[in-house]
Amino acid sequence: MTMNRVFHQKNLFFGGLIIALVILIAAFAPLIAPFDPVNDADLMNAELPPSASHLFGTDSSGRDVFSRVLYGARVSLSVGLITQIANTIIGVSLGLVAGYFGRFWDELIMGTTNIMLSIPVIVFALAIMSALGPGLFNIYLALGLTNWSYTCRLTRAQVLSVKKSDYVNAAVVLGYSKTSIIFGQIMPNVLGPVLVIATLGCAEAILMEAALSFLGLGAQPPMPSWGGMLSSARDLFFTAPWLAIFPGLAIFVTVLGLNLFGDGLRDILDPRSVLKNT
Amino acid sequence: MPEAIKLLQVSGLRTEFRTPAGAVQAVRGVSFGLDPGETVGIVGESGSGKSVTALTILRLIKSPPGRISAGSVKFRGIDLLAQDDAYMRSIRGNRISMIFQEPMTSLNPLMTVGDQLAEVMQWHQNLSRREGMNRAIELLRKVQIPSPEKRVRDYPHHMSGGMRQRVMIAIALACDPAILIADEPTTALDVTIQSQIMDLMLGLKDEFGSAVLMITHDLGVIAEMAQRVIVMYAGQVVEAGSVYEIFDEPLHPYTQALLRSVPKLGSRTEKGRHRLQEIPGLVASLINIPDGCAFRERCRFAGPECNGAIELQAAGDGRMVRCIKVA
Repeated sequence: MTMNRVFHQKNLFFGGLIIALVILIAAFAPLIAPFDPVNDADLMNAELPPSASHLFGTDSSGRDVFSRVLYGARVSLSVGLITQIANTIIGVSLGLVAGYFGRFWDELIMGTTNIMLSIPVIVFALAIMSALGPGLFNIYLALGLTNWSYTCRLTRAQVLSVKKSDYVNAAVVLGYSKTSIIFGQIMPNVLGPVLVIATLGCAEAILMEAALSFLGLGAQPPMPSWGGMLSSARDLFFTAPWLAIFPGLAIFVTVLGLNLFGDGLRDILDPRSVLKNT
Repeated sequence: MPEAIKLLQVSGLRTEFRTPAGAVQAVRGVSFGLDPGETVGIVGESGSGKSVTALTILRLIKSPPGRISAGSVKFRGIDLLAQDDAYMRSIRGNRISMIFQEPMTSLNPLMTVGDQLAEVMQWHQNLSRREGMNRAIELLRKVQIPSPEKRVRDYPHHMSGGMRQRVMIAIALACDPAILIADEPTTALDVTIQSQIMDLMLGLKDEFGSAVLMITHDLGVIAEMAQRVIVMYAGQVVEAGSVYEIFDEPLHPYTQALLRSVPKLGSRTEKGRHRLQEIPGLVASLINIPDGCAFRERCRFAGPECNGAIELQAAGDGRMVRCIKVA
């Protein structure tokens, strides 16, 4: 995969650009933000429309929406990243076990994913959140532990094809142990498609966090989160639409970037679609 | 009789595979020996059990459905069939290594060839990565890959089929094995590359002093490389002898037919157009094999006496043949 190909893949390039921008914003939010997102409340200047001093206007407590949107990127990205790391570790490990050892383990793990796939993730997450109570940490748990079924099934399918390949047979002939074959030979060869799923899953998790926060289960006020901001903007939509538009746009752009990036990644990693898009 | 311990002594080896139609007896009582530094060729058509024999030696038969039902494989006097998995792992790729038919797919696409070479030596000889890499460069030079210092960092897709087979040979020889099993090492390559690879293997065999078990259906490869030949048919050894004896004076009707079915350079101009002879019929089914000679249904000399059990018999100095008509 040359860098040239990366630049020629427009989806990957623009998706990557957007993600890089969001990451930079999240990392340097304190430097960019003109106001403190929590403590600079000024009730005298509540619900101001966008202006030069408040680019995105102010909310019902007089806090700067622009600053809050910038800080909100931290919540969204952390949810996307942490949940996908958890999903990928769980899904890949179980997928490797199911695919490589087969038989009983395969039946057990695939049965479990079938059950999990039959329950909508949002319902599953809601159930966990209502048991554990609201809060950002519980969001990580609820989304990180429930959404690994796709990764697991994909890994298993890849393992099934890779483990029959000649180079895995060659590794057996060279006297390598099972552990060495699983982690040294098979795992690196299944991670490509898993990376695509993780990127797309990241977008899904951000949307899910926004949904849970909208329902009041996510990051608790006054912590700025895009879903939470949307939730509190709901009642004021006709008098102060900027309160809903800007966090909504932020979610939209971030998810779009991740999806473009994931699509582009799939295109360059999947040899069958190389001719189509480059 | 008291006999010196052979490098490899295979005796009475039987391997079968369970299928819904019945047990396929892929190897039926194969015995042979291998001395240090010697090259022995095993020839036979597809389904004759030659590859299964090789896989059985390294205990690579997948079970189920496969099963090694009888016999022994003694490597320096130790029966490999009685050892545990950890012992076998220390043998595979280290004392006995193997080269495959498919160089295009036998290398891991995500690792550089240098890493793959170094890994074998790190695994079996506890070399550090740096030592492994230095040895890798040395080995690539020995298999005549140009500018090996640069090539160690190449991925398999940067290389042609012939070069990949050279890398496979280098990996197989990395730990200086006592025995190298080559399963159709040149079949997937162009004819010109085939002869280069064979020359290379002949040269390296002398340098490393490994014994080679060459498995092929290509009689030309055997003639060029082997000192002794074992001809297999339907899971049995039907003839064994030195390469000169087998090619000059084949005893078993199957060996004779096999040699007649090979085109010879210039044979067309000798007597005008001349049709290459084939062996009539198909390879015998390996399920429910009846007693008697497995080749009798395709043999032009076959008679009623071929239906009884036929043993491998000595026919001159170190020569064996399984045919009642010859002995």
